Amino acid sequence: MSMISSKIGSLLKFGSSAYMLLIGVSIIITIVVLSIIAPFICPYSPTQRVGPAFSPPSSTFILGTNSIGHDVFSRLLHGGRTVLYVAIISTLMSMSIGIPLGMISGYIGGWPDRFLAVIMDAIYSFPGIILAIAIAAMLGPGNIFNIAIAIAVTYIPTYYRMVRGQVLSIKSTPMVEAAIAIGAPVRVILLEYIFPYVVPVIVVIFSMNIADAILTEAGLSYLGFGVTPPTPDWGYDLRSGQPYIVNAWWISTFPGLMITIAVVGFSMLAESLNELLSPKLRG
Amino acid sequence: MVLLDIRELKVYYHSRIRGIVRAVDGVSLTLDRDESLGLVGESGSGKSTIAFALMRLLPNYAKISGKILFDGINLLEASEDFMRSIRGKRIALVPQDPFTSLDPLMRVGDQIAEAIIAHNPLMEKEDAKKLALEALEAVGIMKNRANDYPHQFSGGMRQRALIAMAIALKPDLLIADEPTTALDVIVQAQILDLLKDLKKKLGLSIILISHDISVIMQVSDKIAVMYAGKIVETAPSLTIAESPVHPYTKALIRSVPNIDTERQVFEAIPGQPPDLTNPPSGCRFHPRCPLAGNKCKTEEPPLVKIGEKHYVACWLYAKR
Amino acid sequence: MIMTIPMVLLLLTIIFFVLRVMPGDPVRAMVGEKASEEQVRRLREQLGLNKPYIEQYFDYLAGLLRGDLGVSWYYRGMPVTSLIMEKFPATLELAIGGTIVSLLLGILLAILAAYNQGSKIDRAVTLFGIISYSLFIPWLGILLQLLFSVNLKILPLNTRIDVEYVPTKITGLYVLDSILTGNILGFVNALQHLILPSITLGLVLTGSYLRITRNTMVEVLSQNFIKMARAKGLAERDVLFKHALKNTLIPLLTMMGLQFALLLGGAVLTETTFSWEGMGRFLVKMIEFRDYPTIQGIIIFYGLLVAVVSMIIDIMYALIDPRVRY
Repeated sequence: MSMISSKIGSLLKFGSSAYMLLIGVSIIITIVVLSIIAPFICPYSPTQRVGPAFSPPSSTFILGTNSIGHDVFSRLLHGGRTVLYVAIISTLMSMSIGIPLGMISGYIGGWPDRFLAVIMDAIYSFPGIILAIAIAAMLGPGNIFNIAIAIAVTYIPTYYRMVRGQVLSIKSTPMVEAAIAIGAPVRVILLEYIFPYVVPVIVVIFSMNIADAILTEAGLSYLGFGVTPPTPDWGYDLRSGQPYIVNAWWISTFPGLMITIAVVGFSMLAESLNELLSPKLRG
Repeated sequence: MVLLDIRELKVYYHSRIRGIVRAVDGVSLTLDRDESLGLVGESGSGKSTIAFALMRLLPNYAKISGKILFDGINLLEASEDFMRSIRGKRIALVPQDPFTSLDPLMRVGDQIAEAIIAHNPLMEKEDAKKLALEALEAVGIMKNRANDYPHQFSGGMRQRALIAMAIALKPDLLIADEPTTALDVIVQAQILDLLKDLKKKLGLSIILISHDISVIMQVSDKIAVMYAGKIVETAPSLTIAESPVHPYTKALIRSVPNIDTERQVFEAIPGQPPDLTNPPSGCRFHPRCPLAGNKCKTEEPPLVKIGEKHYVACWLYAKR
Repeated sequence: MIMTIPMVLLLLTIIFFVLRVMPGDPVRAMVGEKASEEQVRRLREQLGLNKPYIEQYFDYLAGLLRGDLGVSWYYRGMPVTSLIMEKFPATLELAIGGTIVSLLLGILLAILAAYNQGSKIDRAVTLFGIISYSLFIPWLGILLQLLFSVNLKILPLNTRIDVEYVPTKITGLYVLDSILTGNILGFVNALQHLILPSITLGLVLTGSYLRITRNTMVEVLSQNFIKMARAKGLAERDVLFKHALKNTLIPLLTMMGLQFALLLGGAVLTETTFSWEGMGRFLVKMIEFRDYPTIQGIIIFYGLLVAVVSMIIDIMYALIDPRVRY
């Protein structure tokens, strides 16, 4: 498709954005791959006591062991699975509710639209992590799916607003008015006219969402409202290592590092996509 | 006495994407004290670029060569500090768009006073304010409006305020860049009258830039017609009005509607302004010139004198 | 601004009902396993938990209108309002510290980047923004603690102040109170404790709006009145700080209003990391203890805070931008 080749062409001109895209994608792919193959390459099981507690990084335990005697490295790789799982599931949930709601609400307008918009605004302006804590606590501890739901709720308004905004601006264009005039069904108008403009925005929000979801999940687990032991999780592991930070710095440092790297990867993806896609939008 | 002497000025923009844009390609001009010059040409002909080059306000990626002698000093070699001392004080600019050229968050009077203090750091704020009020009065704005914000002024008033800002320090040279383009015709006439008035009262030299030759004719003593970064004809205004010589000049004059004649055929100049990264060979006007000959397509005509202070760059008139 | 009431009501309603359908019986949790059914029943009646949910809801609303947020269960008998007022100053202090850090850092970096648009500096600043936003607050906090408290030993590890320096309470803000009571040692001590948490929170906040601030500045710098300011002969420094900066502040202000939620959320993590006795940490504890009234009260308070802040932003907007006033 000519759009792809022209995009690649413009990629070369947007030097720094292309690099960022590359780095971001590389990080993401690395983490995803490592998470997937974790069970196969991990030297130890992440939930079993495999050595003396508080062992510093060595040849037996690459990144040391934690306060219970788990291998930090194995927990790190398996932690990625937990974190990515929650992040992706919650993002998909947010999208599947926020996007259709935004499209329908923006298209229908009037009463129900304004009502919904106020509710969404209320959720949007409230601190996300606090809301997530409240919901996660309500739903009960331990279940990863519940955590995903808690995070998903906080991001629904973002999709809703973006999509609704796009719908509102496109709705009044002559193009769409003409389509309505000739009797095109609502579904067709939404899917064929409005959706294509909405897609680039969604893609950017999607990456940002995953980045935020990772941070929120880590935050929840850190505070004790996320996963329960012995599930490997970066946020939880960081917390478990905090009391021993002076003498066993490796327990907290590596999980924290992983969180940051993962979020950087997705943020870079979002940032570079934003730069690459917006000039196109503005034409 | 010569105030401004521009010699072989070239301004090239180096762009990674588009290549080298030859915005101004070898322009030479002189301006005497108390003389006013009109630079006329289409958008993209390089007229505004000359003004900004003069004041050294062009962006970093613009490569400038040649000489700009202002009162004997080469502005292109002067230090930035020197340039700053000149800007506003000896050479003042009246910008093109009155709607965006004033800081929306600062009162109009204060913005003028700011310019005054910038060049007189030891002056008291009160005195600067007083001078600012005088300047505003000179352009016909009442003192009590000085404390208003720009958005409270009409377009014409804003343009006048910008003129006030320019003359506040009694500069030697005033550059007015398309001062009437953003305004309606009636206001346009007011602004031009104001400029003429100030020119007389303050003994200003003015460089007036416009794409509208009728505007230029009203204020300028002499005119330089620009096309694609080069000067194609220059002469006293009367000469240009009575006996224009270059085909482009003639076309420009013809395109001005005349209220006196009965029937009008609007004569637009055919074709498009040229791409300055790859200008036409030979005479740059030849693709659009009804009288273009073979030589016009291959060789660039030099600027030659054909009358009293009248120069033209066209093979129709160049002596072989 | 009018949106505050529906928003707060909405939050309240959600929290209220969902708290009650939460698994786990709070009454039982309070009296313990060994208590008799009779005791549980009596306590439930005392707390009004045996009434139908709707009735409880409207009782609570009625109390709200009177300004009564109810009474804590965990801290038997203490009004929720006073508990919140006790804990809020700590969070406020942290919020102010974090905001100062992020403003200083953010604006300077944004100016640097916008002025050198497209250059390596610009890209470096963008990179910095992305990384600082991505930092996990507890992790950053721990690293700073390791460096400055454990290794260099120049800053305290955590908490708000060393016990012996607690100033007399006027506002609850230790830094302010020490100044007001002339307590120099207390002032220094409180300030020292404030530094690391503020940097932690502030750094992450900076990342979140650095990009937008930089973009706004780029746009402002390309405006005609900036070119005009230079054409007037103003020194570059004046062009930047007298014209460009002021014009950037307006969109920046709006941005900061939006970031307030991030500030509050980040404060929860920061407080936990540094054992800072603020509202965030308190909320976490109360959720663990299932203290419904307090939880509801704090959530409502957060909602009100967000609403009030956006109101203040609107007012400041009108004060700064003459186009709004006239």
